[in-house]
Amino acid sequence: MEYIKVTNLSFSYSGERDVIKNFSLEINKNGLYVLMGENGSGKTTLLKILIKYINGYRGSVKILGKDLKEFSLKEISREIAFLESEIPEIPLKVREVLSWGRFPYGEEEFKKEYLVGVLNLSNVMEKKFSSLSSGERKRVLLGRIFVQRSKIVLIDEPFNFLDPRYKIEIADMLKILSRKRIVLIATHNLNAARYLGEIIFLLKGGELKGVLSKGDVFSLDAIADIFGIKDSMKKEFLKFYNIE
Amino acid sequence: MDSDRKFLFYVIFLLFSIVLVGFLSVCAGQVKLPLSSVIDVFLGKGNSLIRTIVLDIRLPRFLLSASVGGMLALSGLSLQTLFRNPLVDPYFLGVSSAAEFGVTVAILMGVNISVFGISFASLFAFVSALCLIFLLIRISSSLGVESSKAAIVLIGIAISYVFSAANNLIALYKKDLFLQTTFWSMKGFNNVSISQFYFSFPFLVIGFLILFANAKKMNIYLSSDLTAHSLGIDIKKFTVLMLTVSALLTSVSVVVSGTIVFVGLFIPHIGRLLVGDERKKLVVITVLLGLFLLPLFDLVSRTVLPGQEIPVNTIVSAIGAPFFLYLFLRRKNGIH
Repeated sequence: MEYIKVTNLSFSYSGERDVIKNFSLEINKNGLYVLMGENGSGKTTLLKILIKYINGYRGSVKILGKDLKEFSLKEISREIAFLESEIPEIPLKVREVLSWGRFPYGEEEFKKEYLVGVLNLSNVMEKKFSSLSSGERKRVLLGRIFVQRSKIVLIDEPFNFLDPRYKIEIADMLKILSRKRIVLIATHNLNAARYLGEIIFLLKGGELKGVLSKGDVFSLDAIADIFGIKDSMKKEFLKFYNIE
Repeated sequence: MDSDRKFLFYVIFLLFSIVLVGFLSVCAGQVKLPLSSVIDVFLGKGNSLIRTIVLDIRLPRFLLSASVGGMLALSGLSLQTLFRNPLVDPYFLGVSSAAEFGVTVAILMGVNISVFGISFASLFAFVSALCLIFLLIRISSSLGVESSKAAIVLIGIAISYVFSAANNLIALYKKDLFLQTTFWSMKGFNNVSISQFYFSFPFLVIGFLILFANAKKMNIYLSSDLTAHSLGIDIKKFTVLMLTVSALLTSVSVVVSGTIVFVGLFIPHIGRLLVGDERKKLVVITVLLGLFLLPLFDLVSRTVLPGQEIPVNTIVSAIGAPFFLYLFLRRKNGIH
């Protein structure tokens, strides 16, 4: 089954230059997928199109075998869990924010113990979200996504604001999650992409520049091109990212 | 005390206070009535003078000031939610200047009739405010999601300037008309008839029910447009709903009692200080606070000086503002 199938997608904001250009992508089985590219490469726009936040694109998008345009907003929010990269100010309790994972489909009891244990949230459940540190907030928001139990999970920059310890733990949670779902993350974080991605889609200027599978050698030139690294900086780049 | 029990305590306390203020409002005034004769009136007894004072003057006044308090408080809360900004008040959208303009035009037209106890001028004010609301909604729904809220604010402010310019221009040529309009907008709860209450109360009930039913959405909306959208909330529809509820409640309250300052801004804040930002609780507490506080201020305004009535706006500002500051400063964390 084609869980996500994007064919010849192009999009521009009100007549400006295309931020997505003739982009195609197909995801057929559960797993962890990464959209990697520099800031402004169109990753976030692509995710916004998939959740119907942005309309007016050219080309076709299919979700779970059905055209995206046939989904109502409520239906798409059932099939796709989405986490934006910004951390909003929310003046409500953590317990309330976590419960949103069950909206709009009833407040069926979620597995709090599991979440609270892994994300280490037990002592913040009754605290106000906006009073937490950035790392704690990020963990709460990821928790909300995990509660949602949708077939597809889209996360924009999952590792922003996290300490190394939580980066690793959340990376492992994402791996576990991806056994039964499609997890597609957008990131400019090269290490995270290499660690996590079973398939990595390389984006530049809204175009698909290449697809890497787990175990493929990262070619320096390809990566340098994606991130626009100058020749004079390639040596430093190699050292920084420890690329063979 | 856990938050649910605290909430329940405030609800019971406020309901009790509303009834108390109701009885005080009916008993106190130029002619002091003992509680027993008021109860007699409610039981269908008592002499006709006392019946007139209670049923035609004081009870309508209490009921109307309570429902205006509730409407302005809810209106403020829905706008503060829509803009995710606690500094917004119900007149932010230019509703009161639109209404004043309507009154000016109605007086110019010289029609002097009333429908169900509501004067033609007031009805015209209502229509004028409805036109503004309609315009705002049309404009906001024709714009993209991301630019619409800033646009609503700018358009509201711009339109209210246009209306006040028109009012000022008319005032330049017709000074007595200007006085009449100003007097209309400051009328407060003088000469209240029960029909004004019958006119406004259904709006209060419907507004409350809509907000209460949408409390979960309001909570989620507090995060961000993008997150709320991803959880299935149609941002455009939500914007139109909050805007309509707020502007309608404000228009109705302006039509029956003129412009009452500060209540719509600070009552949701007091609610927030009492029960926090969770909307299901906050909507309930906010409406109860409105039902309680505005009649209380009105009671003070007509009883504090013997034989004289102070405009209710003066009392709201003089008591409400310092009380608000006290509550605000007592909390260590400030705004949320």
